[in-house]
Parts: sequence; structure tokens; C-alpha cells
Amino acid sequence: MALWGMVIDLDRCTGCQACVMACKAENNVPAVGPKEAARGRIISWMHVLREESEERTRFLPRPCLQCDDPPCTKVCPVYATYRNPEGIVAQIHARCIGCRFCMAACPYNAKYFNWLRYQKEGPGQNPDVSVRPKGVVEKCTFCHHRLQKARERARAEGRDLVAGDYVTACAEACPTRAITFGDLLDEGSEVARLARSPRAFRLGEELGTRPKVFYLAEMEGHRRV
Amino acid sequence: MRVSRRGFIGALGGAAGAAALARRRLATADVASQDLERWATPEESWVPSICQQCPGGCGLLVRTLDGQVAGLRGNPHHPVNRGALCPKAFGALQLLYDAKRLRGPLVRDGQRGRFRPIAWDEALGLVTKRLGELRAKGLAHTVAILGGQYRGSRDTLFKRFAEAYGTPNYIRVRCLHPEEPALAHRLMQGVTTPLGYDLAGARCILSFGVGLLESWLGPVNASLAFARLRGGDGPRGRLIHVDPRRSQTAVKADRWVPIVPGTDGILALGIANALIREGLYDRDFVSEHTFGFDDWTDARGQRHAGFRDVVLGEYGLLAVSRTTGVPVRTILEVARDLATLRPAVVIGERGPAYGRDDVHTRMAIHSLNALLGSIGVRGGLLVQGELPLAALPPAEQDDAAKRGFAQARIDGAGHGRYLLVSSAPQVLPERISSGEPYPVNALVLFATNPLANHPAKEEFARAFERVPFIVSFSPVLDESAARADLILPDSTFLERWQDDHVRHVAGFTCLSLARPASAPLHDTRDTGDVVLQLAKAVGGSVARSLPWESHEKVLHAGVRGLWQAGRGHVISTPAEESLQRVLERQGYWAPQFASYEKFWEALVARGAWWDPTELPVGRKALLTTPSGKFEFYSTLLRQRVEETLAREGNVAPFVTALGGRDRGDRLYLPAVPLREREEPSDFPLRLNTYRLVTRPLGGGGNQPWLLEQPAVHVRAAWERWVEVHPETAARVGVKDGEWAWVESPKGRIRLRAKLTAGTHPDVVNIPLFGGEGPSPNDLIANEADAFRGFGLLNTTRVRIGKA
Repeated sequence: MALWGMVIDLDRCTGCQACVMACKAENNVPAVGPKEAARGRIISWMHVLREESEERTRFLPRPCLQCDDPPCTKVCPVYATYRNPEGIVAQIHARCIGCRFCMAACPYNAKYFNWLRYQKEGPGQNPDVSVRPKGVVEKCTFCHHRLQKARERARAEGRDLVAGDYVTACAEACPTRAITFGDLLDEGSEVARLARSPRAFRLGEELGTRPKVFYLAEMEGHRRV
Repeated sequence: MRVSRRGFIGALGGAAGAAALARRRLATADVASQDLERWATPEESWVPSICQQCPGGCGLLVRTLDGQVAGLRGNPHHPVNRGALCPKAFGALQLLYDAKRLRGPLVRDGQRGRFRPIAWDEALGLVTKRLGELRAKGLAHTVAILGGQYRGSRDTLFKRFAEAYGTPNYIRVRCLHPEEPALAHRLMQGVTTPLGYDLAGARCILSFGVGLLESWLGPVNASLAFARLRGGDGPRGRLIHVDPRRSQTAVKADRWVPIVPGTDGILALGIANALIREGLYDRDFVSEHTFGFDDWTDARGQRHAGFRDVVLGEYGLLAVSRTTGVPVRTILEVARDLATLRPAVVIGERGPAYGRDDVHTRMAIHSLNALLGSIGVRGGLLVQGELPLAALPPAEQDDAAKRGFAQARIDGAGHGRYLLVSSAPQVLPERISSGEPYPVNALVLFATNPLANHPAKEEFARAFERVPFIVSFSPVLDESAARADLILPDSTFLERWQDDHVRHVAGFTCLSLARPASAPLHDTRDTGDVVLQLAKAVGGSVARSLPWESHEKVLHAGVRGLWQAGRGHVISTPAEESLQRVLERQGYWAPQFASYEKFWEALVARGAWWDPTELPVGRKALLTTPSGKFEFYSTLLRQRVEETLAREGNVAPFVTALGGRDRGDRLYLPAVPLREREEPSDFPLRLNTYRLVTRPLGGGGNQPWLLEQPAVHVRAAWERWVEVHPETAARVGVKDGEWAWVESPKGRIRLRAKLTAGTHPDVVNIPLFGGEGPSPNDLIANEADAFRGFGLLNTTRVRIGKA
């Protein structure tokens, strides 16, 4: 059994948002329009945050952190969000009743609510990902549909899933190769190696959520002006 | 008959019910058939394509389901982007499915701005008739073709059409010319093909206001190089960025050097001073491969000042520091970094001009590369080989074509003040409006929207009124197309044959080729095909010069050269490529394909051809000046001036643009005049414009994803903004997120103020927004820039106030 995780190197991230747009195209995330955007309702499963202090600025891409001990699943009254055996925190749209308890519970603001029916079926969409109706919560799924497809392909070819078969859309697009994706339990994998790096940290570690998205801190020699 | 209330309602209900039932049954049948269609697994294929959202030319793989585009990703084998993409690439999906795209050709209906649909044949007939008449009257040269940012076969087709038809006026509206060698490289090294900056091999990169990670010649390739600089394999490299604005590149740089806008050249000379003074420059390279470093005496015995004396004498660190606002210590540290972290490369070939001393600024920046010996070495500047495309038979010109083609260009490019540019679009509106040297009788617009995206947009609008016939190839009804007489909508790049020649990436030559990923969604045609159809209809020598049936056939004819060249390969998996590489290193090259058809099929199926072994051919090939050396003192520039003087009898306008006669030798040396800081006037602030990483060619007004999340460094969605320093904002009483007026002598616009500390207090920054809405083009005076052939985008003075 795998444990899917991600490492994002903040030293490399240039805040270009290629990951954001790749995610939108892959997961049929619509633009909500100027009116809704002004009300803070932009849906961006992968969202690039900006952290600014006196001496430096850094960009921090934030997908769903796929906590190993997720606070959001515990509050869901209908079991619409749950941690699957491979560690991916899933969201079943058809089961969601839109109570938004999970949104309140998530310390990372990684969940988004469909206040209106933002998206209609249309050309150019990815048929592997369902279009969300009004009144449900949605979030990053680590491109779970890609795992299903990769597994099917591997089965058809009569082999096991190997590293690189399953990569999220954001990791695939990143022009500075800041995002590494893979199986954290596979000791030899790049993602497991980086997650053990002395630069690695997790967001809100003190909360005990044990996110499976790790960040690599920037290196020295960065902040002289 | 008496109708009771109950009876009436009952009858009504019954009728409605019956109707609903019938509809329902039909609807059910409909849904069932749709379900069947939906559940049948669509046939998936990945079609290689080329992103055309910027000049980067990244390889794409477009996912199609039963021929319908349903997603895209980077082509992992493409040498330019290796599978990575930038945010703009994904906008292509929304560009393709834009609901506002034109459904077919339109013709003017009465006054300008009103249209009615027209059939293609009839539309082409109208153009042919007009072009034929003008040619018959000997007015072929009065047809002007305005082209935007594109490269490859579409450029070839338009160039050829202009040549065969007989107009010298094929004018490109853009400030970045990726397929031409940069000005400083031309003047100081004599090269005739673009040079590539080997960013991936450099350990220290110094960039002068070049948006490496945002715009420039393609952010993806530069980002991959940046990732290598950030380690992994080797030691961590260093990126130093000089920019008035704290851009994304500046944030990610190891060192950001804020500078007074327009003084980049002076800073470069200050760094040169430090390098020379401290003896940090590459003495071997300078003594063996450069000319004009030391004082020298010409054939007539006249003594000339050398670069060293000029730099040491006039660009002392204190003076440089005063003018540029960069501390002396920083200048010294940057110089030491450049000298100690080898190989180092200095980049100054951005699109927009640096200011009024543009050519000298670029020469000053480039002279640092010579001081560092970074020419013709890995991690420095490398020569870019020509693509071995098959030469097309020469265009045939009949008498009418020869007469027309020999006329002076209407924009004056290549003459007088505009001696060094290939196109001078900013002069065009004024020339059209005045009818000098001749009136323009027909205007063709391709991939450009000067009425919105050019600083001279108002002048262009007035000039358009003077042109009796305007044809636009725009796929949407943009500002310029709306003033046209005929619109022949182009297909978007996912619907047409497409090629791209990336000429600026170091270390390899590459041709990308793409077949249509989907059939045109609307009644649009590839403009390449349309040009061929027009040529055929005009007939005679024009038709004989463009004999191909379709754009695809043109590509097919050109690509044959790649197959015949006996080198390079169609991109493939890394394993296969490394095998080929090993063989090639040992001197073997085996053709992979039995016939040209097989080669073509493979190229179309994989998306690109490249030749990675064409590495630097030694320094000599890069130094093709009269002296065979790198010239600090540009004899080529002096030759151009002297030749022009002999030919035209007057070279004053150009010399004035260069800085005037009184500067003597300084005209040909990278010497930027030290100007006094301007005194604050009515317009105390300086406008600095830049290009966002999310802004595609044409403005991207039809790409909601990019409009909703345009930037990370400011909070903005679906809006346009001005970045103001908090101190400046406090002075005029503007708070973050409030509306502000930005006013220049030309006009004023209302934008949301975003307070950002990352800028000089007397500089305001506005991104170059395209399309409809307030943009910096409303503020920028159409200041003639003699060396870029485009407006000056960073010299305008403005003031701001609360709105």
C-alpha cells in the first residue's frame, strides 16, 4: 500500500501559478467571474500564497495538504469526506450536503464551497472529473482520477505501478520542478528522500494534522538586498 | 357555454399535462441516446502542438477525445520545455472554446463597426479584386501588412506574398524580435543570427530588467535554467536582478538591485569600472579577442580613446552611484560575484527599450560579457545554428512587383533615424495620417491589435480612418478588427498547422511542428492557407511565387531540408536520445527513417526536430566583425553611418538619435551619457510598465482563468491596478485597494491602487494589460524610439491622485 505525498521546494517556486492553471484545466475548476471573485469565492484547489516580511517575500503553493490525521473528515456528518487507505483525503460530491463543517475545521483553508452553479457541462472539460453542482464542497484530490487510470494501465500491461506512473497535474506542469510527487513509503523515491531533508517542514505542524505535503525552506544567500 | 373556474383550470391542467408528457417522452429518448454516446469510451489521443501564447514556443501534448480537445500538458520530450509549462499554456483551452470567437468571415455593413456575415469565396473575391486593382494601377506598394508576434512559416508566407505582390511594407508590430540577432550583438560581434544565452550552464546570471521568470523570450525555458541554478546537482548558482520594481524575478533572485529607471547602462559601466579597476576582468579574452579596449590609432594616424580609459575616466563609482541610486558597495559586490562565479552571463536583451540611450545601454550591458570572457563558452553566449530548412525557390517578381517593392518603406525602417530597425510601427500612424510619402490604400492586420495594445493607439485609430480598405485576420472581434472592412477569422493554434523556430535557446537548434489538434470549431481558416488562396487568385507571378496548395504543403516542402541535412533527430524518449548522442559523439550518424515520408510522419507524431550536437563552433564564429574581434568600439556602427552618409547624403537624424555629433568617438563606444536627475515637475512620478507571466499575446481577454488570478504579488482578480509605494500613496491620500487616477500629459486612467513597498517611491508600476479597459497605453506618449522600432514604455512621467 502506498502513501501518496508531495514535496514543494520553496527555494525554487517562482509564484508563476502554472500549477494553479494546470489544476484548473485538469479538474474542471471554473473561473467564478468578477462578481463572485470580489466576494472571495474564487475556487483554487492549488493556491499560491504570498508570505511577506520585512526582509523577504516568498511564494507558497498550497494544495490540500492531505493530512494523515485530517480534521475535516472528523466533522463530516455524512461521511462525504474521508481518508482513503492510501492517505488521500477524498470528497464525494454526491454525498455532500453543503454544511461546510469541514471548511470550518480545515486549518489551511483548502476547501471551497460552490455557492452557485459555477460550472456547466461544456466542451474542453476533462471527462475523468465530475462537474460539481451548487451547494457542495470541493477540494484538491491529488488528481486521484490519475491514480485510477495509472493503475488500470499498469494492470492492462500486467505490471505493478511504478514511480512516475502517477503524477498530479501541478507537479507535471511546474516549470522549476519545485513540486515532487510520489509514494512516501517507498524509501528510495525522490519524494521520500526530500521529505527527510533538513530543509523540510510542514504547515501548522503543531496542530497534529500530519500533512503529507512537505515544504522545503529556502536556502541562505537569499535575502540580501 | 359557461366555463366554471374549476373547469377552466382543469382543462388548462390537462392540456399542459399532455404537452409535458409528450415532451418528457421525447426528452427521455433524447437523454437515452445521449447517454449511449456519453458512455461509449471516447477514443483518446495526444496530439503534439506548440504553445503560441508567447514567443517561447513550448511543446504541448493536446488531449483529444474523439477529435475534441479536452486538456493539454507539456510535451515531455520537447527540448525547449521538457514537459513543463507556464500558466498561459492552459489558457489555450479557453482561447479555443471562447464563446465570443467569430463564427465565420464578416464584411462591413454600411458604416465601420457594423458587420454582416459573408461566405469565404465572396470575401476572398473582395480582397482579390481590391489587391488586383491596386496592382494594376501601379499602387502595389500602398498595401501595408501589419503582423504581430509569430515566427516560422507564417512569417515566410507573408514576407513572400509582400515580395511577389510588390509591397515593401510588411511591418511587424512588436518590441521583441526573437528571430533577429540582438542589436548589441550585431554591432559588437557582427553576428547575423541570434545568439543564445546558455542560462542552464551559467553559475551567475546578471539580468538588467529582463523578466526572466515572467516574460522575456519564454519563461519556461528560463525557469528550468533557474531550477538548475537553485541546485540539485551542482553548487548553488547566483541570480542578480537589476530592476526598479521588485518583480517575481527580483523576489527569487539572490540579490535584487533596485535602480532608477533608464540608468541600467550607467550601472553596467560602473560594474565594468569595478571589474577593470580591481583587475577582475578576463585579461586573455580582452587582449586576444577584443578591439577598442585600449587606446588605439587608426590608419590616418588619429588617436581614439579606448573603452578602458572612458570607463575609468568617466564612470567612477561615486558618479554611477549618484545617477543610478545603487550604492557603491553593491556595485563592487556585483562585480566581484560576476568575476568569481564562473561562468557568468549578463543579459540585457529585453523587449522594451531601456530609455532614450537604448543602443548605448545595450552595448554597455553586453560589454560586460566581453570583460568576463563569456562569449563562445558554455554558460555564456553561444551561437545559434541556422535550421537546415530546404530553401524555397526564389519569389518571382514581375515589373509591377519590382516597381512596388523598390519604393521606400512607409515606416522609414532602415533609413534615416530608423537606420537600425527592421520595422518602425510607431511611426506608421503618423505617416498614414499625413499621406507621406504616399497614402496607404489597403491595410492587412494579422495577429496584432494596435488599436488597443500599442502606445500609439489613438493615432492608429485616426490613421485607420484614412485607409479605404482594411482586412483583419483576427479570430475575435477585437478593437482593431472592429474598424476593419473585412474580417477573415484565423483558426486558433490548436486548429491549424503550425510551426515555430526557437532561435534564442542556447545549445541546440530546434523546429517544432504541429498538426491541427482539432478541426476548426467554426467557419474559420488558417491564415497561411488564406494567403496561398489569395496569391492564387491574384494570379501571374504572385501565384507562381506561392504555388503550394496549403500551408501544410509549405511546411512539408521546407522540412525536407531537415531530413536531407543528415544530422539532428526527431525528438524521442530519453533512452533513445542518449543512445543517439553516444553514437554521435563517436562520429556516427545513422538515418532513422527510410524515406522522407516516414520522417515527416514521425515528426508530426512527436512534435519537434532538434540537433543537440550543434555546440559552439569556437569564438571566431561569434566574432564576425571587420576586425574579427569583439568590438568595444563598434566599427560596424560607424560603417553604417558612413555608408548611409554616402548613399543618402544626410545622416543627421540618425546621429542625433544616437546622441549627436559632439560626442565623437563616444557615438560608437558603449558610453551612456550621465544625465542629471530630472527635477520634479507637474508629473513627479515615473511610469514603469511590465509584462505579467499570465498575460498571453493579444491580451488574453477571453481567458477567464488567467484574468481571475492574474498575479501573486498583488491581490487582484478581474481587475487592473497600479502599484504604488506606500509613502507616495500616503502623500496623495490613497489607501490600499482604493481607486486612484493615474495621469500623464497624454491622458488619465482610473485604476485600483495596490501598495507595494518593492519599488522606488517615485516610480509607479502598471502591468501591460491588453485589450479592452484602462491600460498604460492610455498614458504612454508615442515617443519615437529609434532603436527598437517600438514605443518607449518606461519613460513616461505621471502623477497620481485619489479618485
